[in-house]
Amino acid sequence: MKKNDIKRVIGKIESDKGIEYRLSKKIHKKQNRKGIFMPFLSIASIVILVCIGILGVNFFKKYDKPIDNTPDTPLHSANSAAISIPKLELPNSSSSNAMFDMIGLIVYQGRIYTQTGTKINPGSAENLIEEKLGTTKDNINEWSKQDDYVEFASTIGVQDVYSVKGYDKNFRIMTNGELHNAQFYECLNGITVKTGADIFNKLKIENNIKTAKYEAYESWNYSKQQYKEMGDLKTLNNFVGELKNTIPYKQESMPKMFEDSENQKFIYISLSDGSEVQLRLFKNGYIYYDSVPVFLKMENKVFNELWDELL
Amino acid sequence: MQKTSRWPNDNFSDKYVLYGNMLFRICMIFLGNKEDAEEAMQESFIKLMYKSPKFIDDQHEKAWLIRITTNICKDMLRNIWRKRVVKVGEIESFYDRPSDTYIMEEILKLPAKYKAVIYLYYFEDYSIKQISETLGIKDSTVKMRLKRGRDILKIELEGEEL
Repeated sequence: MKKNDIKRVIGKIESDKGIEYRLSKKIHKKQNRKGIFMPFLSIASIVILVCIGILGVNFFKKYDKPIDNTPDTPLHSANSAAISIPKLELPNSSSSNAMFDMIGLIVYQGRIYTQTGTKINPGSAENLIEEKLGTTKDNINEWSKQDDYVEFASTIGVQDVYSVKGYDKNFRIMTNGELHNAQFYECLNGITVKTGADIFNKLKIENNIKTAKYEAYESWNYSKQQYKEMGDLKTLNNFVGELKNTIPYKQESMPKMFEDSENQKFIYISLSDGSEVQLRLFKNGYIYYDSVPVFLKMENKVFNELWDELL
Repeated sequence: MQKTSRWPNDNFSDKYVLYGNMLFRICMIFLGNKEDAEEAMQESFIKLMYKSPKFIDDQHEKAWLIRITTNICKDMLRNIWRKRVVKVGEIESFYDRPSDTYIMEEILKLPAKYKAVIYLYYFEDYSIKQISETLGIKDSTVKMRLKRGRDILKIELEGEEL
């Protein structure tokens, strides 16, 4: 393939007037809604506050005693029983609209390992390599048949694959590219999550933290990379110790979580072995790891102590 | 292209003329279908019009827009990755020749993190340094992603250093 082929082919993708018109209408509507509803919202807010005030006064007059400070109920009343994450199924080439995932993946011993957000710090890859498991094939695409998903089938080109020192190879394997670009691949499908231990114990974070930093949503969303180092790790260690006791909630039962952009923070935990785990935190105690389709709810006190430190 | 002043938001129309095609291409390359691409574009334009910082110049604005759009696409991939579809028919509609469709399908198959680099290097003619600054990643990472992407796509080097 020649580089001009890339340029020509990409250049032929053009948006149409329909998209421009629809976007224009949606953006205009959003702008108007903001303008129209703001005064009503302000009035509504005042009315609600007045009502709360009146009810509050009456309530305290009636009972004249402190309200019971029970723990917060979960943000969403989703089912918190053990959650089964189905084994990742590869696309069925017989479907009319062929589907495929564009994330990097490797097939190994019947399991599908996908690219993970957990990084390997530069210079640490060599120390993490345990044993060469094989070499990937560059053969998965949207037309692949089930028969193509043989050992080391992949979407990542041809690369050597290794087991990782200190980690279960049923969970994590790695490649080691040039220019310090080693990459972990993880299999967190085909498992049952009863508690956070079923995910976080595999990451080996506890008693293994070297340094940590965090980032506000604004910085993460705009790639500003405005990280802040966490000096005192005591609160973080308490938090990490509590991860194994978190309760899973299905991601699909809480569809609005990612939209609530103001209430998210990101922590990056560098471990002694040179890996860096990224966790996404949501106000009210929820934690999300990579692409695992569950939110894990932590007990409020421990979570809030960390949350409040991440200013 | 003429300014489309009949539409309700003149500022949007100006920005769309400047960036509409670019954003559509980026979103299509990441997401593989028009519906998701349009949703991502909507979010990008809303951020550009209501939440953007003060830009030093047009290049700054463009770089910022590319960065937030790739982030929006990546976030969408993270949220919906098991439901996402590449609509082959939509891709075919852009091309007359099957060989061009094939090339685009190969690009769509790339792991997400290589796509932005490939797009900026081969389509926008950005240098490694410009890509590094635009995406906020190290030069060495850009080089690695470019190399990987090029290996997967089997792009001939044609006298390039990398």
